[in-house]
Amino acid sequence: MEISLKLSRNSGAAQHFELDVDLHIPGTGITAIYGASGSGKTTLLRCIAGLETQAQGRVRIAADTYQDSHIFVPAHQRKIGYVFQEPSLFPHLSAEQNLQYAQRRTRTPLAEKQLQELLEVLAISPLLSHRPDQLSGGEKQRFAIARAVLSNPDILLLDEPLSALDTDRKREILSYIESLQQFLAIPMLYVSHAELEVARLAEQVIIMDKGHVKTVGAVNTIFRQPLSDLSGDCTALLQGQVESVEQDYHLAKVKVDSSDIWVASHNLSPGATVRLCVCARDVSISRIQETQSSILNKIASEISQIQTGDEPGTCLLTLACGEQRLFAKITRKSLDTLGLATGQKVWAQVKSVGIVQ
Amino acid sequence: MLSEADITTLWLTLKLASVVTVLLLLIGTPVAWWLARTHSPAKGIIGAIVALPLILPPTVLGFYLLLFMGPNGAFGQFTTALGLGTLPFTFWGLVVASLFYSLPFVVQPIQNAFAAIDERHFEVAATLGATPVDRFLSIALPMARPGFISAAILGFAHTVGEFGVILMIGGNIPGETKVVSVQIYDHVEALDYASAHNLSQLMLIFSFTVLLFLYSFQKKWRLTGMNYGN
Repeated sequence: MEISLKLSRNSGAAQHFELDVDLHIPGTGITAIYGASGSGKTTLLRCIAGLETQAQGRVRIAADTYQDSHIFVPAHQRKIGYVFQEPSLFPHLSAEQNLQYAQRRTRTPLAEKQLQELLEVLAISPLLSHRPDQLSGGEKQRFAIARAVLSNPDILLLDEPLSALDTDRKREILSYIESLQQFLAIPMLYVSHAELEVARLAEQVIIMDKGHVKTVGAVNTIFRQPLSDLSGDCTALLQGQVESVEQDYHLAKVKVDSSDIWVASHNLSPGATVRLCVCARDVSISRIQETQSSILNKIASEISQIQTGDEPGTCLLTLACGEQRLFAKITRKSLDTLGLATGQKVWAQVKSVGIVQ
Repeated sequence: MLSEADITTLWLTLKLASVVTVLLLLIGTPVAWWLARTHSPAKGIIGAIVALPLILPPTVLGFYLLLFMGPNGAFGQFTTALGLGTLPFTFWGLVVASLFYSLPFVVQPIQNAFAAIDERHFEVAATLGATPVDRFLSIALPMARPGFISAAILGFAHTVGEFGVILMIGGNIPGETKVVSVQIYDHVEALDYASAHNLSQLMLIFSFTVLLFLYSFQKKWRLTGMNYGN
């Protein structure tokens, strides 16, 4: 999949926006497009879908060339599924008719069995007869996703599909997208500015900044660098294996390189591979191993980098613990009081750990 | 109660209003669609021309239409060339005049309804494979349905109430151009107040019923464009 696009737009006097990207996107799995708002993520998706007619460049998806210097295939002829930021079901049609709208207009409709599976995966069968205004935000978005899939596209574009939802609904839809990903053989481009979503879903990450591609890489490598210049909170992604579960305490011990990290056991079983998320603001630093503290997770690590934080008076430490990276956001005062410097061995005390997979 | 002549005028009025409403929905829809979606600089001029009958005295409109459709007018010469003769003082002359007279009452509700549709719906439809024509038929028309209901009712009712334009170009030919409002005027001029009462009451009940119906269902059908008086 090849995408190389240029779009320059003057909206208003001061707002000049320029998109200039050159990308090769793998033909499978979820690729996240990540970046602050205004970085051109949505515009990029709209260009790929053919919704921005001013864009210049080349778009090739699967075997089809949708755009080059001679061709511009209009949106309705591109085999591209698009899930918009806000759920946008047609209000004059029932939920089921919304799905049929897509089915009727594709040349290659999904087989009945696949359709049933899709409804199953997104858990929307019982809601088919409802009207859109009778559905919750999360339900609407699940229908919007199903509708986009039913047009049987070669690629599915998702533009921050969770941003209009509350935390619980987000988590719910994320797991639906995950199961969808296992069920569909098509690649997805997932736009987000939430690190947790990216960390959880994506295999590959494209980081955008001011209309340009800043970094492209696998999710594990991307999250070893601090991304705090893009969003307020810097998150580290750790990969480990569940070693044991202590039922009494509802805790599971996860081996991450040479360190042990305790996490809520949920339904983890020994041997499972998990991705853990650690927010920089949940990590504090101690020069000695605290034994008189309620904090369970203390990880021996080495300071590899010290940067100025995004808020005044703070700084961001990059900590190396084996192959993995952690980030800690501490005050400059603590930095000076403790006399921290790069190369120093410290204990990272982790207050909370999120499980992403 | 009603004389045979009264019934003829009533019948003619309903026929005129029905024909005009159907034609106006056909003509008004593309005009409304264009006005709702265009960024063309001509939008202001076209919009103003469409709205002109809202404030123009009906006699002025009728006067120009009389000239326009008369033997020396452009449209008159056109219809003569087609072998149709000139239109003033015929039923179809009234239809053409009423099309102008009631145009804003049909175009504006539909235009408002089209303009209220979120552009996003058209984009969604496009990504689902709907062609531009398909998007108009499957998204724009059904979503603007309340606008069409308002437009049809207002266009019909407004044509029924027409007087000045008709008098200017239609005159007073029974069974051809004599509509209810003109008949009432004739009754009053002949000091036949009883007959004038009969027809006037009928018109009063009709107008009230139409508006009652519109305002009662306004919320339910989300009717738009109800902000015009007559």
